[in-house]
Amino acid sequence: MASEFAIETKQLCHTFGTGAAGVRVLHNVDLNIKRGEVVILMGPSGSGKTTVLTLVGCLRSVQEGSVKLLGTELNGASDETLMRMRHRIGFIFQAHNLHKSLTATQNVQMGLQIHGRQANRNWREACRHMLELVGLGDRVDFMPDQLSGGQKQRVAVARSLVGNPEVVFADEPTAALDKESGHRVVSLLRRLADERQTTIFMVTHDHRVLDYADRIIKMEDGRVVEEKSILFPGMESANH
Amino acid sequence: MSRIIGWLWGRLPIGWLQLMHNKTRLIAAVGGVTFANVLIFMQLGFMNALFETSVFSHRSFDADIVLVSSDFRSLREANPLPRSRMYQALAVPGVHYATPVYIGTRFWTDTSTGDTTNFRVTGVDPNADVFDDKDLSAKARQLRLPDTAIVDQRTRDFNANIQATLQSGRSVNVEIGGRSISFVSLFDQGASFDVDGSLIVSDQTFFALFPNRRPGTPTLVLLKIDDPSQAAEITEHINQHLAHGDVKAMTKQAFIEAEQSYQATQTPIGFVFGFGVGIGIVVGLVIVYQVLSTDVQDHLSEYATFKAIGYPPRFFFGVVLEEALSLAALGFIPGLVICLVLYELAAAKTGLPITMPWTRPLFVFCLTAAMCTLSGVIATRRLNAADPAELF
Repeated sequence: MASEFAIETKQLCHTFGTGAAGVRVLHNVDLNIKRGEVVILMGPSGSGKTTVLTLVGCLRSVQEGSVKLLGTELNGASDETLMRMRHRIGFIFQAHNLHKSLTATQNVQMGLQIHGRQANRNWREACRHMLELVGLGDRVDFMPDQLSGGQKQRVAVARSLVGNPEVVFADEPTAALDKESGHRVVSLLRRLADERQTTIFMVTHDHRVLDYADRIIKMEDGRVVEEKSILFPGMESANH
Repeated sequence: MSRIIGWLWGRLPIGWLQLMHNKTRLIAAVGGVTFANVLIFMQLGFMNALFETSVFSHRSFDADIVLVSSDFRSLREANPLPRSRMYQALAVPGVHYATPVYIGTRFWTDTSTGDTTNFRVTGVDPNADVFDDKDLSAKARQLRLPDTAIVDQRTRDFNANIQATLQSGRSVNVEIGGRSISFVSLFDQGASFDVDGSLIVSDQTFFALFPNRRPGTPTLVLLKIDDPSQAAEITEHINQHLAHGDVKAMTKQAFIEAEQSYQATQTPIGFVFGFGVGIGIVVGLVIVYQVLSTDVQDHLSEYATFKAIGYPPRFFFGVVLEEALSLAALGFIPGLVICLVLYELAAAKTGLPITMPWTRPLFVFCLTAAMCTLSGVIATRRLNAADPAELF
C-alpha cells in the first residue's frame, strides 16, 4: 500500500476568478484522512467545504498546494489521470441525479459498467445485492418516477457503492431523507468503512448522523478551525 | 430490442432507452426524418425518371453506332448532318448497314377535347430495320402508305376514344401541321419531360410534315456492324475516316450517356432536383439536431453525474450517435414505405417511369445516416456544459 492515508492535502489553496476579481476560497488547508476512516466536514455555507470535496474528488483541477488521493498527486495531473482516479471513488450527491429513462437496476448498473466487461459479468446479482443493502430489494425494476425521494436517493447511493469504491465522497447525503432512511444510509457507509476499509468523506449539516464519524472537521472562511475525534463512533445510534 | 443493442454495445443502450422514454419527442424526430426521406426519395425518383424518359427514343433504335452532327448535345435540339457521311461510314470495314432517321417536333390539337399534344415525330424508312422491337419494325411497314403514323399509346393524357378505335383495328384521321394524317397503329414508349408523346412516320410523310427538311439532311444515321463487340474500335475508325469535322460517331451507349449527361448538367433540371434533395437533407438535419440537442440539454445533470463516475467524453458522444442512428433507422422505414406508394401514384398520374432501383434505398439510407450523424455531432457540443463540479 502506497500510503496509510487515503486523502492527504498540504497547503491547499484555491481561488475562483482571476486577477483583481479573484476570490480566494481556501487558505492552506491541511487534511490527513486514513483509509477506513469516516470523516465529516462541517461549516457554514461559503466556508469552502464543497470546494475541498470537488478538488479531492478529482472534479476540479488543483491550483496551489498538494492533494494526494490514494497516493496519487492530483496537482498537475492530466484529465486522463483524473478520470481514471474517479473510477476508484464514489460520489453521493445531494440531488439523486438518477437517469429517468433507466430502471433502478439499470441506474445501479451504470456505476458498475464503468469498470468494463469483466466487472459486468455478474452485474445482475451485484446490482440486486446492492439495492437490497439499501433496502430496495423489492423495487429493482421500478423507474425513478415510481420511487419516492428517499428511495431515489438510496438508488443513487447503491449506484455509487456498487463498484466497490476505495473512497466515497458524500455531499449532504441525508438532506433529502427521513430519519430512518438517513440512518440506514449512513450506517451502511459506516459498515463499508469497518468491513472493507472504505474511506468516507462526507459534508453534512445533519446532526443526527454526526456520531457515525471517527472525526469531525469544522471549516470557516476557507480554513480548518476545529478537529474533533469521536471515541466510539456509531455507539450512540446503535442504541436507537 | 434494447437487449440486442445492449449486447452489441457491451453497455446499457442509454441512447435508445432515452429515445423510447419520451414518446412525443420520438414521434417528432421520427416524423422529421421520415419527411426528409420522402422529400429525397421523390426528388430522386423524378430526377431518375427524367433521365430515363429522355433516352426512351435513343434506346428504341436498333443500332451499334450512331452518327450525329458534331455539335450534338441532345436529341431535342440536334442539328441535321449531311447524308453523304452515311455512305462514307458504310465504306469503313465492319459496317454493314446504315439507315437515316429524321426527327422533329409538331403540336397537335385534338379538336374533340381542345387538348394540345407536343409530339416528337420520328421519320424512318418503312422498309428498314430501325427499331430494337421487331414488332414495331413490322408495324412500320404499314407506313408505306403516305400520311400515316403510328402513335405512342402512353402519350400523356391520350384520348381514350382514339386509343379504343385503334385497338379495334380501325384507323383515326387527325390534322397535324396543316396535313391530314391517319393514325394506323399503336406502340408503347411513354411521355418524357420534353414531349408528351411520340409519332413514327415514314420519311416521305416526315418531309410533308416538315417542309423545310430534306432527305439529304437526316438527324441521325444508325449503323450496324458485323461484330458488336468491336463497336468502340469501329467508332474510332469512322471518326478518323470522317475527318471533316461536321459529324461524329458514337456507340449507342455513349449516345445515351451523352443525352443523360446533357440533361443532368446543361439543363436546370438536374440542379433543381439536386436542390430538392439538399433541402430534404437540411430539413432533416435541423429537426434531428433540434431534438437531439434538447435531449442532451434535458439530461445534463445525469451526464454530469456519469462524468463524475468516470465516463469518458467518447461515452457521451456514443450515446448521442446511438440516438442519431436509431432515429435514422426508425425514420427511414416509414419513409421508404410511403415513397413506394407515392411512386405508384405519381407514375400513374404523370405517365413517367418512376421506379425504385434497389440501390436507391441504400443510397438514401446512407445519406440519412450521415445527416443524423452530423446532427448528432453538432448536438454533442452541448455536452461540454455538463460539468460534474457544478453538481455539488
